[in-house]
Amino acid sequence: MSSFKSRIPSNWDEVYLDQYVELVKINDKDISFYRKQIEVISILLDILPDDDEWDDVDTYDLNEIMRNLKWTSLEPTINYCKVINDYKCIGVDNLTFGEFIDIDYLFTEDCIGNINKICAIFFRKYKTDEWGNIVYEPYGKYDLDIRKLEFDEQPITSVYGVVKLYRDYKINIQSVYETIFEPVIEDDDELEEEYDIEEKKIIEEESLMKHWGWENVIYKLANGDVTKYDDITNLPLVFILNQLSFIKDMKL
Amino acid sequence: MLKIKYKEEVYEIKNSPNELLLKDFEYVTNIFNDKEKQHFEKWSEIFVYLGLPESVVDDFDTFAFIDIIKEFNILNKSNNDIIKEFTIDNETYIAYSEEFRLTVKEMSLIESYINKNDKRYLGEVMAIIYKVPGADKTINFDKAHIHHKAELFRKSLTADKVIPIISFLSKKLVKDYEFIQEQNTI
Repeated sequence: MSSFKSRIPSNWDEVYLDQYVELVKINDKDISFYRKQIEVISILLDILPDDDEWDDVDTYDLNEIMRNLKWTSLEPTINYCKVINDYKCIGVDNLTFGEFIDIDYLFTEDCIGNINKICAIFFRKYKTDEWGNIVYEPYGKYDLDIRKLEFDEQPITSVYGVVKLYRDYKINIQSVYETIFEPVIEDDDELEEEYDIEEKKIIEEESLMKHWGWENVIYKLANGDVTKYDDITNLPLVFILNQLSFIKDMKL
Repeated sequence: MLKIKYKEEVYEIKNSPNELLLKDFEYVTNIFNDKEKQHFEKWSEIFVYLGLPESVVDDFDTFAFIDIIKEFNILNKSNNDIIKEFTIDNETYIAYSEEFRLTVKEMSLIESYINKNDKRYLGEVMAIIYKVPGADKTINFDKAHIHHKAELFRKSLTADKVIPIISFLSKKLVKDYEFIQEQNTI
């Protein structure tokens, strides 16, 4: 038990990203009360829940440990490191359309579980060119699934702020480009009963368009030419959003 | 034993924790906790299980029945001291030497047995807590070993040894749960 006490982290700075993701996911698990405490502490100590070390830890010790974990009730800091190892954060203003699509998908799917991948998109190798400008490693020229592993071993406080960075940015562009990001209408069976067959057909088509979302946008901007897809996704996001607003406003 | 006079006959039914075996106690508490059953239906079933003929139970008038229920209260007659050890078939089983404490691993295992079968877990709980002295830790937590001991305890242990444990566990669970909630950890 004394060994547990001395090894337990005292703040989020001492918790790695992969540990944080595991901790958050515990709440999704259907496990009993004491098992949950065992798993939480095991994650923080990087041991297995069935480790022999647990043999002599009594419930009073557990309460003592949990008392020292009160800090976990607070979120990790929303600040983040601009530079991690050889990688620098590209920020949100320089996002390309393709990067935005991928980040948005990962964010919507599981913003905590995918932080490592989101970081692997935001943080890039970089160099300074002959004019003193920072040039970032191109997106798509490295394996995201391998790169993400490097962020798993970063303190959560170095990367957690990236979630807020993206969330705030998304809220901002949704408000600026309101016409593009129309609110998603939830399925309502009762409401649907009020529509006739023609209206239902339109709703189904719209729902299909929503399902394909950004793929549909790329298809339209490339006039269906798949060889132009990369050209479209490599364009700056803001440029694309401006174009989409223009097309929509002009009803082109 | 509770003596019940009915017409010319006297019937005896077990009426104290040291008369009820663990398996009886499990059965009786299950009936108590059965939300589907009505109050009198529960008591009728308990008295029949404990040996009162069904025809007698069915024939009691309400006031007589209530009087018997008042006399039958196994939970109020026990003390809450957790016994250190007991012996069955020349084998001693020990829970603690100085102060009764449970490890987190034991509590977690107890919870898993309760979740697995919330109608029949007291034997397993006792088997987790009362161990064979000198036995290896892996044996103490081995599921087959726990099952074997649980079945032995069901048919050998009396409820007076179990009730203090149940009382301790229920208080402990509530206290620990409230404490952890207060800490508001992740």
